[in-house]
Amino acid sequence: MVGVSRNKSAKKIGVLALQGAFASHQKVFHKLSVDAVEVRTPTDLEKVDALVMPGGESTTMSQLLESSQLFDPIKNRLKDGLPVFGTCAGMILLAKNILDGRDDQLSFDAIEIDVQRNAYGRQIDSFEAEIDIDSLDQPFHAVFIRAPRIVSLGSQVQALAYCGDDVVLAQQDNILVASFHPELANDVRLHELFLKGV
Amino acid sequence: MAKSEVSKTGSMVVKRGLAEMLKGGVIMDVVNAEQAKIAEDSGACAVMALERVPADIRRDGGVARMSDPEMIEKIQAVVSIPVMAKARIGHFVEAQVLESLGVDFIDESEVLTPADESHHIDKLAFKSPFVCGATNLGEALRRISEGAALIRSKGEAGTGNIVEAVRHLRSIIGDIRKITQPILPSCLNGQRDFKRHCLWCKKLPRVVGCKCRYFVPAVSLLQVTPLWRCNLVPKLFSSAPEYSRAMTRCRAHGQSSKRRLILEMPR
Repeated sequence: MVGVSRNKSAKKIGVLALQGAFASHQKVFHKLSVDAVEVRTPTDLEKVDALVMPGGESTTMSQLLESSQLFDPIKNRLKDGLPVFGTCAGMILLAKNILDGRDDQLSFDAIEIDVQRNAYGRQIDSFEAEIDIDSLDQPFHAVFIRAPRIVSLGSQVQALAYCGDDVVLAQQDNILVASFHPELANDVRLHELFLKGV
Repeated sequence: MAKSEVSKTGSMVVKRGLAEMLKGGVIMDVVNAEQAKIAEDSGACAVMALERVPADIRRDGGVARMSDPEMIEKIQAVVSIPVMAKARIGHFVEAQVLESLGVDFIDESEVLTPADESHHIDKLAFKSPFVCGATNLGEALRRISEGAALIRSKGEAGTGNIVEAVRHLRSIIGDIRKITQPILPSCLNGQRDFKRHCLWCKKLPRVVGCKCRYFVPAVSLLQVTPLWRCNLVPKLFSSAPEYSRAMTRCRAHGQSSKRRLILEMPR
């Protein structure tokens, strides 16, 4: 009986906690009264029903995915439809093609987009902007930190928000990606949106 | 549909945002482009471009200045991770030069020879984020009020002695705990600035950097573990390239139950 009620109500969210802003994501889920656990090992991964890939340094995370032996288990779960929300570096990890990346950089090839690393420039060019998101009434305050740019989208990918001419929020089936940092905006709406799909 | 409002650069949100992204990573001290490449290859999340590593600065004596702009540009050309650089305390012109070079984080550092004995740089006047050292909460709050986006401990540069850094972090974290208690501890009764401090504390960047010369991953974990519990995550500055890979991985896995990894990492 306990098992049934758990399956219905308490989906367990995991945040990939190898490096970067994973704690900020956990705080947002905490605000939504949702339990979000850190995922550092394959065992941690088995226990979660959805995964957030946070911002950080994608080249560092790529190496850590390998050494923590998380890469293959995550790739398999992605194929099985694990809902994943990737922000900034997380989006880079999920992308099909990475431009201006390192040659040895890993990617899950889970969403049909080409991303360019650090495409908006160095930290001095990092910016905040109000963006309109299709399913939200009010604009969303988006924080871009040395952000990647989505340079092309596959036919399966749905663009959910733009900043200027660039797509900054996109979805393909179980994969949601943002080139900005919703976890830094003091706004829970995007995380809520993600939870709806879990 | 395609529409965006006026965007804003150089805000505190954006500055602290980068500090958030560095969490749990290793920042390597490097003195040339080759070392910077090694650092990136080893999984460093950023590099600190220096004229000399702190150990050598301490040994050689003399006046230590901002790194050579040409060297910084060379490093920026070879790595894709953030590049940080140091400016002398109070030397706002050096900071301006570093900002115009597009340095991602400026360290107003006591390791270099101070340029001003009474004033730090007005960091709010810059678009680049700053990291500053602090030995206690008062010092940390002063640096934050000047516009620092990240606070780190001060180490005994180049000695490998970790006790200074641990003392600073313990002091800062201990004081935050004290003054954020719902009931004011008696030792703080009557402290005039209490309220103001509390307000500042809420704004204290949730990242504390650790400055020390780490030779063994076990030492880096010593710093991580107490901090983790306090919701503050350190980043590490290191001077020994050969250890960075080991430490990066150690950092990531150290919190898991596989403590054996600490033993295996440096090998």
